[in-house]
Amino acid sequence: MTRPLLFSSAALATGCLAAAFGLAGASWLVLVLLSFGVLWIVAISLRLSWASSVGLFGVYGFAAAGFWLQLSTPLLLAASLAGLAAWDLAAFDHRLGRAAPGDDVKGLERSHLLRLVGLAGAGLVLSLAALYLPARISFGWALLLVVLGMWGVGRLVGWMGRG
Amino acid sequence: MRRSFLTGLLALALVLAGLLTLHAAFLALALPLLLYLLAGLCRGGEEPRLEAERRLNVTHAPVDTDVKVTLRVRNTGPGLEEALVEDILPPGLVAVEGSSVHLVTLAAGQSASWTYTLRGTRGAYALKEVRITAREHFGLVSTQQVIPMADKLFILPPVMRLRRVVIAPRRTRVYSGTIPARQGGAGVEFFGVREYRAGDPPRRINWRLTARHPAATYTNDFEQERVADVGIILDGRRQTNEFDNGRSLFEHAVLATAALADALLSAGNRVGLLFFSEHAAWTTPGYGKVQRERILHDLANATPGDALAFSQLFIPRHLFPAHSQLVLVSPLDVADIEPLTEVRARGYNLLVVSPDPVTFELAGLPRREPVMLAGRVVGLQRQILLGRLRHVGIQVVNWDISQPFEQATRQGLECPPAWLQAMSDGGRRA
Repeated sequence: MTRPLLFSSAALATGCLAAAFGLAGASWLVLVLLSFGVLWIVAISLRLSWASSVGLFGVYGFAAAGFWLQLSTPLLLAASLAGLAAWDLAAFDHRLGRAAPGDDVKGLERSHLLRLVGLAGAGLVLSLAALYLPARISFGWALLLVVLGMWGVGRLVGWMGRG
Repeated sequence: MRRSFLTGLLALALVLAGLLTLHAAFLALALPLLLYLLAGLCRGGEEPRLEAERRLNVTHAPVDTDVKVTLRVRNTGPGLEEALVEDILPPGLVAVEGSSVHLVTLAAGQSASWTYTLRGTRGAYALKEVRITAREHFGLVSTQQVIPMADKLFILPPVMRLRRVVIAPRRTRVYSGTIPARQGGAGVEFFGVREYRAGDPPRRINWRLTARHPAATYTNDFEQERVADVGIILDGRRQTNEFDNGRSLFEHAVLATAALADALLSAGNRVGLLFFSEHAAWTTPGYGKVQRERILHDLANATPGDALAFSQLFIPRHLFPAHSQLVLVSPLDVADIEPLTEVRARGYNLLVVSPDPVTFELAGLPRREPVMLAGRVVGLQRQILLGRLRHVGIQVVNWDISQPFEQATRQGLECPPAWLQAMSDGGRRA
């Protein structure tokens, strides 16, 4: 079940990005995105370890560019969440590859997918809230948040890197 | 690169971009990533605490025999969402049925057990540890527990049955066996005639000789058959056993040693083993099935090494007195002639079983004219080497390993050359 979902997520991510850029009239970018999607799926099917991370960075890069250009928000959000799901499922599929034939792979898949769906839903709600709930902050507060954000995420990354 | 680091880096970049540009969309993109990171952070990080127990159905098994391993783990710590349990196998052992690696979910207090089947090449293997890698569902944080174990598995060399190995040491032991002892007494083979002694059975009286010499009565004497001390020396020198492309004669030499030890012990002899490699390692001499197991156990451990020269070969006299039998299993080297001659000169009877390195090496080379010519030259050199050893009274059996050991060496081991038979007869038939 994991592999079909993995390919579907990757296809959905690049498809949404292509649709968002296509609706804005950037047809050459649609071709670039579709090629990127095909290459990503081929690399994942060949189980190349770096492929999923490159795909994740690519999808988030294009999604960020799309937001900057004020393209379709639902499509870009869907693309980013599908990209995150594809990246997660690629790693999960890699771990499942070590399971023995008699192991309860279906049970592991079921509980993993439930958590992933829950997380994607919560992520979507938070993202929509960030986009549509009005919040005005002054330059001073923004600067403080930049410093705090840098410190906090830096600590988090450092802690996880050591772990 | 670690997945958590990648996610964190991407989230950090998006948060900074959002705060610097005051564009909420970047923050909206970063939030699912941060949520993903936090989920991993909250769920993972606890050290797994498992107990493991491993059972092997045998600890000593011949090559190509299945060894059943049962591994049982019990989670005595917190519940594990995803645990990879690996029974670490040393190189040379493979799981042919079932698996030594399992991916499971283990709730607190839950147990799981698996059975798998191992096979391996000859060797002594230490099954040292079971490794458990625990991850939360997203696989961002992993923790590991290594449970040390102390199981050992010996894969013994195969033992080919030899019908008979004829040896003729001049010194035998007091127990009856199969080796002619050059002494009159109870036996099968006619040995000589002596004057009648009170108590001799009447049917052993030589009536013809007594009639010819009426002054005395004569009795037939038979040759006693006894067991002997046999020291088997296995040559483990890399220089004589190993060739280009990783090809090695050593496994063949081990196979020959196992077959010889089995045949000589079955005949009731007292057999010891010297493994001559980086160190000289003795298996002290002994009799019977227990000694057979000890020798096979030590052969399982044997690996070739950068060894001493044969000139440093030391035979302890308290284990093998002069005139006892030594059996050397070695591909031989030209430099071995002198030390082997010295061993012979010290009074030992020496039988050399030599896996043929020339035919072995030629079999791995392309059959081109220069190669064949070189092969013939080296083959002639080897013939000269073997001839020189025979010349000093060493019994040599050359084994072309393309044929099975028993078949290739039957002639040399069961029907010794005429000069050896003459020696064992003590010149009586001459």
